[in-house]
Amino acid sequence: MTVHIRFATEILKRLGEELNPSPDQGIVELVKNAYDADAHQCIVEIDDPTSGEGIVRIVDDGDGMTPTEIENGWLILGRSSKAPTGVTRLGRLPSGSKGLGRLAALRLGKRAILVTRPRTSTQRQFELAIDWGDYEDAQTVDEVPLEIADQPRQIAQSGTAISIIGLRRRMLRVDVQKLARTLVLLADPFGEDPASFTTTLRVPEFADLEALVRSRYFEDAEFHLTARVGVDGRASAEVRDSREQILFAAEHDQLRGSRESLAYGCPPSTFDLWAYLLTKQTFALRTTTLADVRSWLSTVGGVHIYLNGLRVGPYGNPGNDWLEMNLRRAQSPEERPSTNTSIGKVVVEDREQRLTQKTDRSGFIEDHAFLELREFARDALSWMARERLRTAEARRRRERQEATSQALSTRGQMEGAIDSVPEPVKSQVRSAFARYDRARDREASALRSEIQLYRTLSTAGITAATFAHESTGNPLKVIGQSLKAIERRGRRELGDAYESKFAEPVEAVKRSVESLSALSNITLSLIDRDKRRLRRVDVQDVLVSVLKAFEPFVAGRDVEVSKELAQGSPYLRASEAAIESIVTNLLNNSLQAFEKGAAQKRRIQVRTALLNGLMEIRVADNGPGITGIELADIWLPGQTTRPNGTGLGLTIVRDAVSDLGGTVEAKVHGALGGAEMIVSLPIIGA
Amino acid sequence: MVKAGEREITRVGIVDDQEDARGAYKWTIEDADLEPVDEPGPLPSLWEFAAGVAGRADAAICDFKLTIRNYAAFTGAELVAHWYERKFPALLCTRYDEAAQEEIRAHRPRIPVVVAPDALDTEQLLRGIELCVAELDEGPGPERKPWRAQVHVLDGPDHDSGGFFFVELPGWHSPEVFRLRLQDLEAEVQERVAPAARLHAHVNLGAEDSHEVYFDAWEVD
Repeated sequence: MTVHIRFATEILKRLGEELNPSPDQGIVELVKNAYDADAHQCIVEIDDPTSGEGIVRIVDDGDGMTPTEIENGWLILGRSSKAPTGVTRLGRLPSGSKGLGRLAALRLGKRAILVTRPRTSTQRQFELAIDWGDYEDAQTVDEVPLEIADQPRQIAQSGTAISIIGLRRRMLRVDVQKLARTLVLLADPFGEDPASFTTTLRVPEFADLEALVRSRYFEDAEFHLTARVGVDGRASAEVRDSREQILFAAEHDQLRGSRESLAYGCPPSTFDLWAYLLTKQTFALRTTTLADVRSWLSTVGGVHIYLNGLRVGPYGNPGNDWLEMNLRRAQSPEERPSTNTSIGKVVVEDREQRLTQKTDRSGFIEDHAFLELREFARDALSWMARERLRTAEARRRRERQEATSQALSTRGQMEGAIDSVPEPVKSQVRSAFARYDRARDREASALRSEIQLYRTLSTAGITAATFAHESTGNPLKVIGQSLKAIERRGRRELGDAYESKFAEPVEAVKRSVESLSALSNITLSLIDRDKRRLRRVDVQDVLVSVLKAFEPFVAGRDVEVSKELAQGSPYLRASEAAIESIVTNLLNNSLQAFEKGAAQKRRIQVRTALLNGLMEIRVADNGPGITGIELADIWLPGQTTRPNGTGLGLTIVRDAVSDLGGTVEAKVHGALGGAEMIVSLPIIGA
Repeated sequence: MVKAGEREITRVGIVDDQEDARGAYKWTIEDADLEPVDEPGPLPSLWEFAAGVAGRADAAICDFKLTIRNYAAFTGAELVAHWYERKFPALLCTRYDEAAQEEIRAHRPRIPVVVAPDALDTEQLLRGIELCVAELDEGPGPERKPWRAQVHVLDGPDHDSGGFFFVELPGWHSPEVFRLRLQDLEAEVQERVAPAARLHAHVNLGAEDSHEVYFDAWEVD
């Protein structure tokens, strides 16, 4: 007896709605079918989207289908009917969908009707209706018969029309906007020849949305990066200004950096990025407005991927920053565009199918080929940032030189003008100008001294790091080994006399060596390059390791540190150095506060808590509180109440917290009576 | 003289770029009833020096950083790994300095014993030499024996800052993240290193401490 595996009708729901939860993905799948059928145009019409009884129609002028193609292709789920490596009649590489998105789209309504006019026959058209209600009464999918009706042709042009009738869910403005965006972006609207396959969305209620996404503002970009990687994996790139003049150009080795000899292991691709300077001054003399460009970028901005002519989501969708442009911009805002200030595309020609799309259409599997593609695009962005930084540095140096000579010349002009004023007003003006001049000098001098302070501290850090081996490592090693020799030989040669006369001073030296080692370790640890790398950072892990590193100093100052940590492992994407500099400076601050006033028993309390996606770090002490300085001034650089203080610790805390999107506040007298600092950081998870 | 396995160890070479440090090691060696052999710099090429010491000493202790002064053009890790091939026992004597971790780890398959200077005393010295000789003559013990292991790449390589990448060892007892250098891998393995990649290497999964873990014989699947 021969039997078959059969599928219960529930499988349609599993494979349709649950695998492709987003309606626009399903509709796009039908539009991709039109592309694969060599259509030039595909129109998506939605009638009555908000009523709950709406209709979606997808109409194309492609090659249509014969009854055999309907039966053996369109109705078969899970297998692509297209030859995976072949090309279509018009030379297109098929998108190769497996029909699961199509199922999801067809199931958006209560019924679906397919009418198709094959190119191979000029007389006939074929109609197939699917009523999903029939499946609710059936046990298995194959129990429901479907009829393909053979009808006389009403329109000569070949093509396919699919109607999805009685939408199960109302489509809101946000759904239509998402669909409009997806359709417009589907077939590279940034290219020079978008006419080869165009998609049109007709939703009378929301006509403005489509107009917005169809806009093009490329000529308003400040610069345009183009990078290419060829079949041999070798890349090149150039950056042009708004007049299309080449500013910088690079060959493979410059883009690849330290891996210069290695080819990129991705299919041949081109990466274009248009970056905008969104300031009022830039747009003052232009015909387009800043608001238009902002609105357009926020709707279609991001870097999109086009595989063999069709867009692959979610790359470039709102919130998708697959090139980590926003994170890297946070590190160097001047040279790096963000997803809000740029738009781009990576066009991939993948005839060998090296990139693999996930079954649920949520992007590519992150295999070697995809990661290399991402690396290529990131390398191009990094190279552009390096070039722009170099240019900006040269400009800054030039401006500094020009500013000095300009200041002298302006001063001469001002003095000349004062000379021309009649007495007695002249002497009054001269005296007022002299007062202004002195105030300005004081301000400039304060700024210069602040900059010098940063430089001096950086130099101190660099010197400590450079000579850590000579200044602490090696001497400590020699002291340690020598002490051991003294101890061994003393015990052997002197016996009891060693214990009574030498053991105690030797132990004291040993303890001091341990303190010195701790200082050496913490200096080297703070500058560890790896800590400046952006990655997922467990905030509490960093906090605990800083507290551990501080143990010798804390003990040396008779301070007791207590910690109460929140449950879980709250994390964010940052550099470990950023978190470390926050915690280190807060601890330094508390330890220094004890020098100002005697507390019976010195205590520092470190507490963390999680609240509504924020992590709160509180560092409180029982020192004298914030005294001798206005609360608001503690964050200012150079403001300190200690004679030899740098006044930079809390400025660094404020800046580091701000870079992480958080806030910091101070209490003059907090939980333990002394100062309390409260840092709030947005976390990704716990 | 001490007996380690079949070998008789009498003379111990001292390789360190600082004279005072060599002096301090000398006392430890003397107190262990061994004969110190001072190796003042500048040292010749790695190959020449390694061969020379093997002729005048039976074992050696060696600092990691040898290049800061004008002492040697190679690191202690390279030297000890080279001696391993010659079956000459040597202890690498260094603090677990994070900055040098990657280089030491890259040579670690051929560095049987790393000892911290502040832990080095006569007993540690003798025990270390014994361990070295045992591995050279009889093969690695349980903590040093390599096993074929899956290596999960978590992040990197970060070409902007030295080509480091980060891995995890599902087969090891602790979820430690290891930082490794791309340059220590062969070119075809380097190309496979990417986030979420699953690679294979030979790893001493019996190691207790993360500093002792090494990665060797990376495979291209």
